[in-house]
Amino acid sequence: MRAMDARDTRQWDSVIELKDATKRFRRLKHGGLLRREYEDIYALSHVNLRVDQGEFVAYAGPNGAGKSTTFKLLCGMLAPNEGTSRLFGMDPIKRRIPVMRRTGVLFGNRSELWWDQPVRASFDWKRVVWEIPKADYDARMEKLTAGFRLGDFMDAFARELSLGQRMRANLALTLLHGPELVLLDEPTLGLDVLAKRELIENLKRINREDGVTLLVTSHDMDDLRDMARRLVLLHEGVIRYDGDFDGLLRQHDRTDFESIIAQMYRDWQPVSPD
Amino acid sequence: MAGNIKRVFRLYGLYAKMDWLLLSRDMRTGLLYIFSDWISAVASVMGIALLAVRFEGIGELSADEVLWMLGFFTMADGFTMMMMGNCNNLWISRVVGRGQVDHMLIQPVPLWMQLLTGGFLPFTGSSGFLTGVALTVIATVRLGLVMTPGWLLLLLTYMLARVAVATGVAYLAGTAAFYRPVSCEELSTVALDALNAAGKYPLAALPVWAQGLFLTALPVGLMAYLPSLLLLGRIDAPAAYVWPVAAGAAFLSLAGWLFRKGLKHYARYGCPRYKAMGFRN
Repeated sequence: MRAMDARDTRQWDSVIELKDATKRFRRLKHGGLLRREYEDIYALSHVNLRVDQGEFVAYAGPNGAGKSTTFKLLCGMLAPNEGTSRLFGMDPIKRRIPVMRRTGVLFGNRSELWWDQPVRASFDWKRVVWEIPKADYDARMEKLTAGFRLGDFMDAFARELSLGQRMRANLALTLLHGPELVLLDEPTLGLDVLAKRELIENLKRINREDGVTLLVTSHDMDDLRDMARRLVLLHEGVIRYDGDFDGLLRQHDRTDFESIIAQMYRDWQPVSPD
Repeated sequence: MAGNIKRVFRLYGLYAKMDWLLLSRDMRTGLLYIFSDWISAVASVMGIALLAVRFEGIGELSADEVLWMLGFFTMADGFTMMMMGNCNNLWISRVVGRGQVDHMLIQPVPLWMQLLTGGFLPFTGSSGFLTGVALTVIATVRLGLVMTPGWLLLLLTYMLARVAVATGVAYLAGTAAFYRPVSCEELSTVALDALNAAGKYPLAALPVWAQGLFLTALPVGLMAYLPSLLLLGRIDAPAAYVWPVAAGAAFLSLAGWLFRKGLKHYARYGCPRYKAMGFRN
């Protein structure tokens, strides 16, 4: 981390702060000949979330819970209808460029690699676009190439990679500019057991060694428990649990997460971590 | 300001390098692709050129002047493709409609800078431009035109103005994709195709009101006709020399304003890819 970044980060207590954030979309309910009826769908409803520097947070929830919408609010792709979204104390829409210099974003179903170029070209592209100094670039490339075993396919076209290789390359690309915060939406999607294990170990390492703050979504609770220390459970746009993994098990007197979550979603009662 | 200019050129250099990498990966296929582009660029204007030869000109323009106009059209269109052709930067409704603005928003670079530089294809995208240069040189020699530095500067200015008009129209149409992502995904393509299909023809035979329309709101005549008349010295009114540049600035400014409004809408409503009827057309 650069000295200036460290100074800037200390100015703000939290890396991520959502205050009362609400995001709603309009959906066509009935389209008649003359009248069209719409209904509001709440992707997020009065969400309060604070993540401090160095935390590794699992952001879990079923499909449509609002996880990706949260990420889009944090990246400045969407604006909340109510409430605020702040990264490093800044509005990610108004201060998009300084926020993105310090943030790495990866959506599991998307790729930031240049499809018709060798993998190496995507890294070179990022060096210029993010204005990464050559010395930093060389040092990080050495570390990332070893950590994510990129050497095998750096000269292959991105479209020729397997899913696991593509995810490793995408994650390394996300980390190339030395972000203080990394947002990963479903990074383990479609990966085999070995690739998943490698990915988790790499994420734990960058959190432990480099102090990178991570917010990661996944449907696999075992994966999340393996990597994160804090769990935030989201359902229908509302945070239903925020605490440690064991706390959730103790609270429900269970030994597996699946049954708790299934019960939680069936009952739809607010659950307090305390 | 100086920092931004330096960065713009650094990004142009980057995209030029990436384009070269793409071409050099399979040089034989790449060169065949460029060669077929040359043939296609010539073929696309030859019909009008042959009509001009058969009827000894079109309107007030002689056959050689029509050839010069077609050369300018091909050169300016090729230049537009070379500067904006990659990553759908010119066909912006595709980027917006497919929700790909997200990829741009995570880059710590101003959007205008990404849109200005990210489409640069100096090697694989230069076919139309080079074909146009060749046609223009042939027509210039046949007409015996004297190329002074001032005239060349005016030629370059009108070519840039043409890029501005075409880009402005593509973005004006493309902003609709912020509001109807699926239905309007191809709107920039439709607008540009219409502009280019009609922009190759001299407008002289049309009534004055139609010429007025095609030189302002529907700027077909700014693709090649008016700049050619001005560069061939067929118009005396000094005010007319400013019009292509003024129109380019106006179209770009309006498109920029509407694009920013569209972005605000995007942040508020996102990019819903599915329609109530369930299909994507």
